[in-house]
Amino acid sequence: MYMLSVSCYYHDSSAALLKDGVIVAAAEEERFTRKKHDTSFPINAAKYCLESQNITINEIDYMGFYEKPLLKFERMLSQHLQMFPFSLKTFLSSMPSWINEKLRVLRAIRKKLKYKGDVLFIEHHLAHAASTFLVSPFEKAAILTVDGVGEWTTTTYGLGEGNKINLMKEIKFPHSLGLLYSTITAYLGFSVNNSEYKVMGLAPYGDMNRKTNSYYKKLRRVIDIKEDGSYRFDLSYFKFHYADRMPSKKMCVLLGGPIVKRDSEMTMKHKNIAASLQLVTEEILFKILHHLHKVTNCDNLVMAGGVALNSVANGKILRNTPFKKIWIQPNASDGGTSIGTTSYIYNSVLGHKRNYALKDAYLGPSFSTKEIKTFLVKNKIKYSEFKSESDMIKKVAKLIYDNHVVGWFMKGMEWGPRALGARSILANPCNPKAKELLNSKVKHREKFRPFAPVVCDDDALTYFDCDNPVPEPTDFMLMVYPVWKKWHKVIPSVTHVDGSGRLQTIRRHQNKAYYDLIKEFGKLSGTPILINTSFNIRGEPIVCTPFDAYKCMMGTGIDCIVMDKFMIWRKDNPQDIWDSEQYAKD
Amino acid sequence: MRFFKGFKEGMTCFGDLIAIIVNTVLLFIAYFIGVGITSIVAKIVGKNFLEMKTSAKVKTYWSDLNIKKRSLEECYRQF
Amino acid sequence: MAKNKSLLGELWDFLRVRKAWWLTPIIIILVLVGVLIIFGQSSAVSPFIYALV
Repeated sequence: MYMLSVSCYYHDSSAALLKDGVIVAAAEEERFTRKKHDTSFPINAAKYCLESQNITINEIDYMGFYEKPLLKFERMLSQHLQMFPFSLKTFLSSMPSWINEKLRVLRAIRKKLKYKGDVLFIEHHLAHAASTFLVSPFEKAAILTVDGVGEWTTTTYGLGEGNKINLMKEIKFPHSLGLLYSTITAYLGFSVNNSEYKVMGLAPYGDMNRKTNSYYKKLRRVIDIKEDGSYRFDLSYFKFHYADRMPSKKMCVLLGGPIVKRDSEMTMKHKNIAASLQLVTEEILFKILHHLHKVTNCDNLVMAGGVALNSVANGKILRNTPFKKIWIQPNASDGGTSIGTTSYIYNSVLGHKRNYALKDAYLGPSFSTKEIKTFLVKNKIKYSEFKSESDMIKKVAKLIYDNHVVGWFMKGMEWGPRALGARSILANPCNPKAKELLNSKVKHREKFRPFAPVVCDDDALTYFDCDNPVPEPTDFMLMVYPVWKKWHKVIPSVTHVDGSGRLQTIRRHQNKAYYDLIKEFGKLSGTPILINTSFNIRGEPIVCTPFDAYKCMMGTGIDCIVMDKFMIWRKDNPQDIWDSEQYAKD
Repeated sequence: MRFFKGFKEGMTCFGDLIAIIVNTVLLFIAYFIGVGITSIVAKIVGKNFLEMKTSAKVKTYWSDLNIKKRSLEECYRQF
Repeated sequence: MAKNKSLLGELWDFLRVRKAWWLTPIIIILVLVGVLIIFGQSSAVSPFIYALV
């Protein structure tokens, strides 16, 4: 039995294919269209899913959509009715897309995919809950979903058991922890629905003490938090429920100045605002989690929704709440709902027993040795071939040790926003100048943002003050932990200003070559850790195909790419006039 | 040929512009009649469409959701 | 047999089941406006539609 689900029209559209209860393919549309956070109908992602199994749309038994469009429409109209006449501008700008596409999902699915059957619609937060619980390793778990907004819901909790999900309580729009985070992100001059993680990265530069950070007290005036973690806003500080701007003038007055201009230098004040936001977020999350544990009496926790990508808060959960185990799926935000929709239909609606747990994120397109060779030959790209995998691992480890920046293209593309060793750029973390090197050659990031380390699972506790046993979400770079102090100076380029690192752990069964490479690098450097950053040009999605990877290398300062068993050097090939910076938007 | 191609493109652009203007006018009318009148009536009778206020009196802001199991029939619906 | 209903059928069921009567006026108007907008996008009929508005 095949099931295909899609999510689209808001942010990060995606498609996922399930075969007899197993997720066999999943990808986000942005990787194919090369448009970051693409919201359009995921026609390319859906085609990839079908092609990966050599099937046509006629073999799909059920199709799913990740939302109830009319409930969202109801919420949107309610906003206009409540906020008349202030919402005129957003009414005029948003209504054409509702009329043309958002209300005509059924038509779009049938027309674009030439699908003749019925479509099943699942509530947004139910899709979130299913996307994490039904593919988790737990038979029973407390569920928390927190994001910007689905139809009406912004936060839910419940309990998953076997193939059943019981979502018990909710907090409704306009009160939303995700939208609070986005509002402050917008205030600090970053792009909404994209740069929230940058604000999270900025926070440790500020004062992370509730007693001394004056902006924490100010931000607490904006939000009323109850003992059980439920919350509501004082809406006079916000405009997102009726305007195309998020913070109101009152919020600007509260934070002591107008909205920060894009690409401004971050001052101490801005850093303290980011810190206060992180403090409030953690306060709400931990209160909810204490309450959730009390209600469910279950020690396992699964989370989803955009807020579940807050890896700083995630890393503190097991130490600050009664939960003993945690699991979060790699694509926790809206992009991930397509796997939730398929799993929910298969397991909960149709009643099949769960027979799958998501163990790695390599659900996207992969390319065979033959396909890659054909690409290289056809495009007259100069390359060399490794004799064996061990030859490759030895040579690449030495290159990284000698401070080369290496593009690493293996296996299926990652599912979710993080590069996890399939489309990664690797560098030497022991090099104190690695951050500047990567920034000057490829990433051109804001100075305050750290790079992330990858370490084999059996070495994680040696270098990082992780929970023990190391929780599985670290495989997906979803937990930040302190780096043990004695290693701070050994791996300076992946140690953040507060001494933490957003590590990825890798288990050998997930990606053997990647694991062995890290170990081999450890033999050379004495530290089995690499810098792992996403294989992309600033402002673009992570690369998908060999062509994307080659183009990325030629347009940046990446020294070489290891693609399957092939090595391609930038210096050996004619350098295109491709300038990554002119395309950089964010 | 080039002239006709350019002329056709120009007319398409003009048509699109007209469409945007007409759509905006239509939506403007819809907003003030559909949303406006309902909103004014709702305000008179004290109807709220969003939960706007915080309250010191209540102990919790959680509200019941109680989604236990969705049947196939419910999933066919778009609401 | 298809079990998904047409958009109009869905909208009617939605108003009825959710008892969202407050939304009835705006939904009726949007359906009418929507028909004009969608038909207006088809170049064949647009001159007639615009002539009417």
